[in-house]
Amino acid sequence: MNVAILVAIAVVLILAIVVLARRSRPDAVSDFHRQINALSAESRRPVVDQVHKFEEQTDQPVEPDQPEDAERPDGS
Amino acid sequence: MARDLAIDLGTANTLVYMKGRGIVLNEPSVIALNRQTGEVLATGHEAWQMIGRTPGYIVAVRPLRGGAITDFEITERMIRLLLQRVGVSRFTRPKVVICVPSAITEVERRAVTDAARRAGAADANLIEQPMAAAIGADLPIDEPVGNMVIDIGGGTSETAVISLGGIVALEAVRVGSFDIDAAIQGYVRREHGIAVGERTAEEIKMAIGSADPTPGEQQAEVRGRDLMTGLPKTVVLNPDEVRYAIEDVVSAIVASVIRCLAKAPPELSQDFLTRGMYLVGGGGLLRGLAHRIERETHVPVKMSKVPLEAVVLGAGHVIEHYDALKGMFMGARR
Ligand SMILES: Nc1ncnc2c1ncn2[C@@H]1O[C@H](COP(=O)(O)OP(=O)(O)O)[C@@H](O)[C@H]1O
Ligand SMILES: [Mg+2]
Repeated sequence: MNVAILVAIAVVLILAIVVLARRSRPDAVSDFHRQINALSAESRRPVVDQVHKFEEQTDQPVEPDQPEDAERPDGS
Repeated sequence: MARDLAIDLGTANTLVYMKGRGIVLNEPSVIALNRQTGEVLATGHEAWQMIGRTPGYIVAVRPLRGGAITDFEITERMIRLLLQRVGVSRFTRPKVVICVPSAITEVERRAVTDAARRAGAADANLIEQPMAAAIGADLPIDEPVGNMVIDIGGGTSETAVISLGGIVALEAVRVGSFDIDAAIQGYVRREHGIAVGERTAEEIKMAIGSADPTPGEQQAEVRGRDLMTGLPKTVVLNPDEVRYAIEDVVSAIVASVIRCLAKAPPELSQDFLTRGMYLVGGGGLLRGLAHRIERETHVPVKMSKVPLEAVVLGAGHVIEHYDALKGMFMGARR
C-alpha cells in the first residue's frame, strides 16, 4: 500500500521534472518560427498602417525642423 | 503604469515609440549645457535653435554626432532626460529597445543600456539600425530573399543585407549628412571667403545640394560673415559648385554601398536586381542620391515612404512583439 503511494509520488515527480526540463530547454526550432512569424507581412501590417497615417499627416505642413526665414543669416 | 518604449537614438534626430501608441517624441539629438556648471539647459528643438548662437558660457552639442559616443556622461544624461520626458521613472520600469549605430563598440553599447537601466528601464536591449530600418520600411525580411537597406543619417551611413530575420552583410561608415554640411562650410570659406554656421550649411544642402544633376536646379543666396572685413555678406552659390564641394562625401557613401553589395552571397545578390535596394534616413533625401547610387551600382534604388521614421517604427514593431523577437537583440545572436 505504502509502496504504491511512494511509487506514484516518484512517477509524478519524474514527470514534473521531465516537463520542466523540456520547457526550460530553449527549443530553437519553435523560437525561430515564432521570430519569423513576428516578422511576416501580416504582423508588420500595423507598422504599415502607421506609415499611411504619417502620409496623411504630412499632407499638412508639419515641419518642425524648418527654421523661419528670418533665421537664415548665421552670425557665427 | 509603464508602457514599453522603442528609441531611435540617431546622430541627428531622436525618436521614441510607445507600445500601443506610436511615435510620441521626435526631436533633434542636441543638448545645451552650461559650460561652467555642466547643468543641462535645454534639449531637443530648443537646444537645436541654439547651435552656433550661444554665448560663451553655453555649449550646444550633439553627443552622438560621429556615430560614436564621445562623451558618455552627456549621452547618459540625454537618455535619462529623454526617458523622464516620456514618463519613465523608478516606479514605472518599462522595457526599452534602443537602436544604435551598428559600428559602436562593446563599451559604448554597455554605456547606452546602463544609462537606460539607471534611468528606470526594467530591461534595455539594443538592435542594429539597419535591421530596424528594414522592418520599418516594410521589407519581407521573414523570407529567404536578399533585402538591402541603405540608411544614411547625420553621422553614419549603414548598408545591410537582411534575410530570414538576420543580418547577412553589413557595411557601416562614420560618414553621413553632417559631413556634407561640413564640406559646404569649408567650400564657401575657401572659395567665397565667407564663414557660415553649420545650420546655414545644412539649409544650403537641403535647398540646392545634389549628388547628381537634377532637372530644375536653382541658385541660392547665402549669407555669412566676410572673413576679410568681418562684415555680413551675401554670395550666390550655384548647384554645380555645391555638387563639386560635396563630391568626396557622396562618393565615400556610394563606395560603402558598393562594398556591402560585394559582401553579399551570390544567391542573394541576384535578388537585388529584381527587388532593388531601399534608401532610408534623412541623408537619403539628398537630391539625386538615389539616382547616383543606381547609376554606379546598376541596382534599382527605392526610396522609403518614411525615411526619417522607418527606424523607430521598426524598433516599435520589435517592442510590440518583444518575446518573439528578443532573439534579434544585439548580443543575443552570434
Ligand atoms: N531633404 C533633405 N535633403 C538632404 N538632407 C536632408 C534632408 N532632410 C534631412 N536631411 C539630413 O538628414 C540628416 C538627418 O537624418 P536622420 O536619418 O534623422 O539621421 P540620424 O538617424 O543619424 O539621426 C541631417 O543631417 C539632415 O541635414
Ligand atoms: Mg537614423
